Amino acid sequence: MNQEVVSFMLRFIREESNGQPARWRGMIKHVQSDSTADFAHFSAALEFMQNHVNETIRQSFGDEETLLTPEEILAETAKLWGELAPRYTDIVLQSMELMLEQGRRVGESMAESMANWGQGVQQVNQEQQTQMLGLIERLTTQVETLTGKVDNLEARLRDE
Amino acid sequence: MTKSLRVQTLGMFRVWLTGELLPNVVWKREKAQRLFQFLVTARLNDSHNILPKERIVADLWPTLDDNRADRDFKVALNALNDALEPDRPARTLSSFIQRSGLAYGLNPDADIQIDATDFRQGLKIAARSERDDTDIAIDQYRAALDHYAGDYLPDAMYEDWASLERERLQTLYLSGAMRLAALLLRREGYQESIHLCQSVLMIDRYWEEAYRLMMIGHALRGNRPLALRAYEQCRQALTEGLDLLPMEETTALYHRIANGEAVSPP
Repeated sequence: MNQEVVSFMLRFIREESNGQPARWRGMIKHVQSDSTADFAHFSAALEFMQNHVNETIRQSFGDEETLLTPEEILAETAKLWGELAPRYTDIVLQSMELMLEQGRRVGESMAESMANWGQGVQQVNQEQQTQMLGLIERLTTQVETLTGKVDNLEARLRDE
Repeated sequence: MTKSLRVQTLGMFRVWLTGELLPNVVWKREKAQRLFQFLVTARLNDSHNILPKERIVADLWPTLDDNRADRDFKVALNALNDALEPDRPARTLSSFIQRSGLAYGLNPDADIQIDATDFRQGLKIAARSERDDTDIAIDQYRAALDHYAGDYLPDAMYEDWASLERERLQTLYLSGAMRLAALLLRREGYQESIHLCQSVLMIDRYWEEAYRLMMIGHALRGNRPLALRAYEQCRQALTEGLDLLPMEETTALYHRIANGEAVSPP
């Protein structure tokens, strides 16, 4: 197991002068290196933290390049994929459900628009009407197919 | 004879077993010493007198898997028991260590004296005395601050678990030293007060109250140039380090001293 820890100790100091508004300043320490920085604005503390986190990330990448063999990298990748896969399926399912919902809405909206259009325009071409109805039918079929696939996926996940 | 432990955690780590200083070699393994320091730190944090083994292992062996961490914990615990009580019966814990199920800590009934505890309690007592008797409070602050020989467990500087206690004790030292420096000015202890301010500024060079007390101390001693120089040091530190100006109170004090006006202790 390779674990990197980056921790910080923050100290805020409130200084008050007679009758004047209090003033804040602070000190931040990176525990693992004992390096410190003083700040009067919190953005400076954030920058200090960001620099140390970046440095740790940079070092860990540098170490991996020199220490890990291609087989080890593959094994690490497979392990990460194993951890990510269950959540990945959830994410895909949620995305598909959203797509289906949008598809249904588009289909309904188009059908409604077509109906209104048909009423409003008396001299519409018979051939165009047939094309539109065909399009709506195909959309409806696609929505039903996708719904079936999602149902199957959900059933498989439940079985697992 | 009852066995006792005296533990120095401030400035450096040392342990006396019934009056005898334990040599470093007695720990055999670095992790045995770390485990002891960890349990001392848990004792100082009143709400965690004993800690579950999982928590100890997670802090001391964070990168090991469960089996290896468990094995290393047992080895370290055994080495620690050997160091504290080499003549104890086989397969028993030292009388200084308490086990409750799978939780471990320092035995609250054992005679264990820790300098950080004395330091904290001393400051509490001194603060209480301040209202009644300044002279007694001064003596109590002196006695308490004498315990602070430096940072908490300096050999565990890069350990997360020691950092919180180190920070807590250092801020207690800074505020305690400032209180004593202020009280000393009321009793004409100018030189001692100035030394305390300097020791605070060694830890935090932006501590403006320390500059002010130092200016007053020098001025009351009749050394106006040094008082004005202390202000200049303050201004320079704040401007260069934090891009800040001294507070109005500090600047007003500077002008009073520069104009030859009388200053009084805070």
